[in-house]
Formats: sequence, C-alpha cells, structure tokens
Amino acid sequence: MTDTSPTLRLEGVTRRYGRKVVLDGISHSFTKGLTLLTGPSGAGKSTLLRLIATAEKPTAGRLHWNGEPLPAARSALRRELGYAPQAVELPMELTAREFGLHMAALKGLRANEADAQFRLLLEGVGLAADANGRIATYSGGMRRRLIFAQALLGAPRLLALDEPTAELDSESRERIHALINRAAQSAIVIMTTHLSDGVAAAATAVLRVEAGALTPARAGLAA
Amino acid sequence: MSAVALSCARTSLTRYGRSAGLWILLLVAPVAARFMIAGRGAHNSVISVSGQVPWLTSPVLGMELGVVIATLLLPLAFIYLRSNITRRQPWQVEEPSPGSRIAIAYGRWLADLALLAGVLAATTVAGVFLAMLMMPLREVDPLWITLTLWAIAAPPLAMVASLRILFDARRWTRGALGEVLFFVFWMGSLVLVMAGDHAQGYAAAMADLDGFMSPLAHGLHGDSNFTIGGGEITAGAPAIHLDVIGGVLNDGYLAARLTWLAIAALVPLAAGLVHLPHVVGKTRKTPGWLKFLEPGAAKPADPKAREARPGALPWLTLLACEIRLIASGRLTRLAMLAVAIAGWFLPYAKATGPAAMLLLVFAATAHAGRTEQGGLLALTRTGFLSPWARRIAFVAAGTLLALAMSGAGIGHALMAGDTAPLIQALAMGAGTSLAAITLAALTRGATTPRLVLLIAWYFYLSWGGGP
Ligand SMILES: Nc1ncnc2c1ncn2[C@@H]1O[C@H](COP(=O)(O)OP(=O)(O)OP(=O)(O)O)[C@@H](O)[C@H]1O
Ligand SMILES: [Mg+2]
Repeated sequence: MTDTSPTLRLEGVTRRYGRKVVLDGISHSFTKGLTLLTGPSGAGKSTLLRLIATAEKPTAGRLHWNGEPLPAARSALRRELGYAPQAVELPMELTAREFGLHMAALKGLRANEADAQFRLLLEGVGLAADANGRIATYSGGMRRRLIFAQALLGAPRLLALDEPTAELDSESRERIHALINRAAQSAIVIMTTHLSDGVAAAATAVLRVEAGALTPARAGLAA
Repeated sequence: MSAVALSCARTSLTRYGRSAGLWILLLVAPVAARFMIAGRGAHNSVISVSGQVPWLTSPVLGMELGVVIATLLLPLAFIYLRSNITRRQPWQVEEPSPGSRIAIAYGRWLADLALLAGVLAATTVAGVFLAMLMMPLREVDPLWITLTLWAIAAPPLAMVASLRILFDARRWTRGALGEVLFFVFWMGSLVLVMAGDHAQGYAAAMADLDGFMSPLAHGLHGDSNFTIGGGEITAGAPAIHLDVIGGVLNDGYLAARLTWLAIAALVPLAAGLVHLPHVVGKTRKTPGWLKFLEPGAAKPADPKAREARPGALPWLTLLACEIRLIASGRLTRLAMLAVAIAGWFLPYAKATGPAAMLLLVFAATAHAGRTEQGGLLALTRTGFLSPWARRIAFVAAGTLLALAMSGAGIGHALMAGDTAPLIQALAMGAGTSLAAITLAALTRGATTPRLVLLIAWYFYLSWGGGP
C-alpha cells in the first residue's frame, strides 16, 4: 500500500436514462477530504454516486482511479471502495453482525479482524446492543446506520455515502459525522445530503448537482 | 474454497434455516411418498406398466421415490429457491464489491445443493420407514433404497439449483421469464424421456435427466406402456416384477448420472461469467414504432382542481380499478383484445380458451404479487375498503376479463345451444384469479402462483376442452 493520496477524476461523464439526460458531461477531480453533494430531489445525486461506486456505467465519459482509467482500474477501485446506497435490500433473516461479516468477506478482509472492526463500527453508530438482533427487527434509522457501518469496513480510500444521515435523530447524526470526519482524513469521502448541519463546516468542498451539471456551491447552502 | 464462496454459502444456509418454508419443503416428499407409493396388492400406483402395478421391493421403492421427486418436488424446489428469502439479496452493495461473481455463484449454489441434499436425505429416511411398513422386514434393504433414489434424484435436483443460479444472473430471467423457462425445461425433461424409445446405454441415459426411465424399463419389452400418476390398472392383473438393479448397474447409466452432476456443477461458472448487474429502473429506450405502448407525457395539473370526494359507488370503483390493474400496460390490453377478436375465427376450447387463460395467468399473478407485498398490505389495511374487499374484487375482475376475452366463443356456442364454453370461461377465470390471489397472499409474491398456474395451464391445454 502506498501513502500517496487517492484521486478520482471524472471526465465528461454523462448518464442518460432513455431520452432523459440526468448527468451531462461532468468533469471533476475529487481529492482527499469530505465533498458534499447537494441539489434538489431528482437532480441526479444518487445517480452520480452509483457511477462513482461502479454500480452503474456512464453512458459516455470516463472515470479515472489514481490516474488509471476504468474499466481497467475497476477492481482496484472496488478493493478500496466503501459504498452506502440510499436503499439496500437487506437480508432480513440475518443479524447485523452476520451481514457485516458477509460484506467483509466480499471485500476480502480477514474474518477475525473484520469481526473486531465491525464491533467497533456498530458501537460507533450506536448499534452495539442490537448487533445480534435480526435485521427484520430493525427500524428505518437503524437499517440506515447498518448500511453506513458496512461501508466503513476495511480501510476504504473512497467512500460514497448516499444520504447517510437522513431519517436520523441529532445524536445519531453526530456519531456518524464523527466517523465521516475521521475517514475524510485519509480518504475521498463523497456524501449527498439535504441538510446544512454539522458536516458542512468540515467539508473541503460543497458541490451542487442541478440540470445535469456539477457546480461549486457555497458551504452550508442547503437544497 | 474461497472466503467469498464460503460466506455466501453460510449466509444463504442461515437464511434458509431461519425461514418456515424450509420445514414444509423437507416434509413434502416424505408425505407425498406415503400417498403415492403402493404396497403389495394395491390397486393403484404412481407408476403402472401396461396396466400392472410394480411388485414392491427396496430398489423399486427407491425408484418410485425418485419419480415422486421428479414430478412433484422439482417445481416446488425451484419455487422455494426463488422465493423471497434469497431473492432479496443486497445486490446494491454486493455488485460493486470486489468479490468474484463466480465465487458468489458457487457459494449460493452450494447452499442450495446442501438444502436439496437435506430434502433427499429426509426422503430417504422416509423411504426406509415406508419400506418397513409395506414390506417384510427381511426384504428391506436401506442401501438399495438409498442408491436408487440418489442415483435418480440427485442430478435433477442439482440441476434445479444450477438453473436458479443461472436465471439469477441475467435481467430477463430474474423475472417471470425465468419461471416460464423452468416450466418448459421441467415439462420438456419429462416429456422427452416418456416419448423416447426406452433404449439402454449411455446416450439414452443422457437423454433422461430425471433418471427413472432406464431403471424402470430395464428388461422390459420396448412396447411396454408406462403411465405415471393415475394410470389405468387392469383389474385382477398380477404385479409386474421390475429389474431396477439391472437398470441402475446397466452400463452407461451411472456414468450418465455423474455426467449430469458434472454439467450441473459447471453451470454456476457460466452464471458467474454472464452475470449482469441489476438496474434501478428501466434504461433501454423504447424503439420508435413501439412508442404507442408507452404511457406518454403527463398532463399538466389543473390549478383549479378541487379536493377529491368519496365516490358514490365504492364497490364498483374498486372493481373497475382491479380490472384496469390486472389488464395493465398497453401490451397486455392489446393481447387481450387480440384474443377476444380471434374468438370469432378460432375454436374456443383448443385455441382461444387456453390463450385467454395464459394471458390471465401472467396478468393476474403480476398484479396479485404486487398488491400482496408486506409493506403495501400494511398501507391498504388502513384504507376505507379492507384488503378482503380488494381480494374479492380481484377475483370478480379476473372472471370478468376471462369472460370478455371469451365473449365470441361463448356467443357462438350459446347460439348453438351449447353452454360449455360459458361454464369453462367462468371456471377458468374464477379459478385462475382465486388461485392467483390466494397463493400470492400466502407467499407474498408472484412466483409461486405463476408457476402453479402455468402447470395448471399445461393440463388445461392438454385436456383441450375434454374428451
Ligand atoms: N433507472 C432509472 N431509469 C430512469 N430514470 C432514472 C433512473 N434512475 C434515476 N432516474 C432519474 O434520474 C434522475 C435523478 O435521480 P437520482 O436518484 O439520482 O436523484 P437524487 O438527486 O438522488 O434525488 P433525491 O435527493 O430525491 O435522492 C431522476 O429524475 C430520476 O427520475
Ligand atoms: Mg438520491
């Protein structure tokens, strides 16, 4: 592992759904630190995160991870990726801990270390007491915190977080902000949010997605 | 084995183990065996050869259990493996993970395989138990019961697991098409071997995925006439002695069974290689000449629109809604219209009746599956009309649609004084929609009702309006 800073560059990235152009030739370089994505509902924030997380391919344009273009660099990116989508079909019959260990195995982490780290992460998001409860018994906010916790497994150098603090109370939100701020010291953290609270102050950049374009916005500007 | 495959296998098995359906699946074959297998001197049997009941021995029992699995358990196992439990995979986070798709496919396949092996083991134990009830104790040979049963049933069961993994890899087969393909595959595997000339040897054994024909037909004349499931038994005919052991040990048979297992074991590799990621929604553009099938642009809202008031006839509104939702999408409506028009020219019992039922099966199960989802059900329960009202309206709507599609056929027949098509259409419409909504409500999805109704449709088609 090198200690150079990770870089992610988007080059003319376009995403169309049928005839609808959601993202129109976006170019941007993301660097270490926290980048907030804001913008009205339906503007394409989640779409942009899906492209960054390699969950979808751009219709046109390219991504470059640490200088290498995708798709050649896709597995390199995936090995360092932590992704928390807006919604996940969680395996309801499993416990939070079992789900976390499964995600750790998919990421190729060592089982015993992953177990220890996931315990710590669950404690960090305030789920330690429910770690062995079935996901089916979790509330909406608990599920969201679980999805967030699995994204932090390993040492991801690229974190794509889709509204990780929506539906959460202020205490949980602060716990998550603390974890995000710590991760942002060594990783590229790209996070969508509608809220102009806590994290905005710590953000290195605030970008606005609107009408297919990505433009810099003033910090603290809410959608 | 890789850690990824191991983790997928372990989580899948954990999830199966925590679902109630597992116990039903484990019990189906043993319970069915109790009713389908005839003791010595019985007058009916799941298998009959030229009107004679086979003489029950340990290998014959093993073979009959194999037939029970091939005819009854294969579709049920497929439904179960495709049910909500493991269909709900966290693909949103699994697909962008570095885990290899091949390892994931093999992990899930191994879990399914272990589950089906459990079903087979339960059936074996039940078989030995049945043998002790139905045969003299000294003739009970657990080894031969096990060997024949596993030689026959293990390859098709492994293939079910493989197909379900393969169908999960591609977008089209993740949905309704996967059920149709499985249904065709299953029917095809049965029909192919029943229609064959019962030849022996490796090539003939390879044509027999379900594996019971070679042991059954060994040492019989080529003109013997097999029936499976409720054939005519000639009164007073003696039992027939079958050389099942000879059939199993016949050259080529066991080699063919192993070949099928090997093919099944390669399918997950193919599934991993052809895996296509899920999509959040529709991404393909509709070609221009099909544009008229699209919903089109929304009408602008009228700023003077007032708040909606309760309708005067809530029941009628509900019925109209259900009709609209079952016959949803222009493609479905066009097809239904085509069937209704074809009714003027084509015979009802053999052509438009089955066509109407097939359309209704797809349309009704899709709508039933959508409305019986847990979250939506919780929402509708708070509404003014209860879910039960909606279910009744659903059945009425399905029946009305069946009648509408069959109108021409019914009219022709009524003018000739024949009420049969009317009764058929009523029974078909009511039966299909009742089964669709009941099974959808019980299983919270469209898969089970669709597969069960497709099997029913196959029988309706081959029955063709009666003798
Ligand atoms: N699979 C799809 N097919 C068609 N259109 C899609 C698809 N996915 C997204 N869209 C469209 O892309 C646009 C952007 O969606 P996206 O989910 O990225 O918005 P968002 O900015 O994340 O909104 P929100 O703040 O509400 O989460 C929307 O107009 C949506 O209709
Ligand atoms: Mg979004």
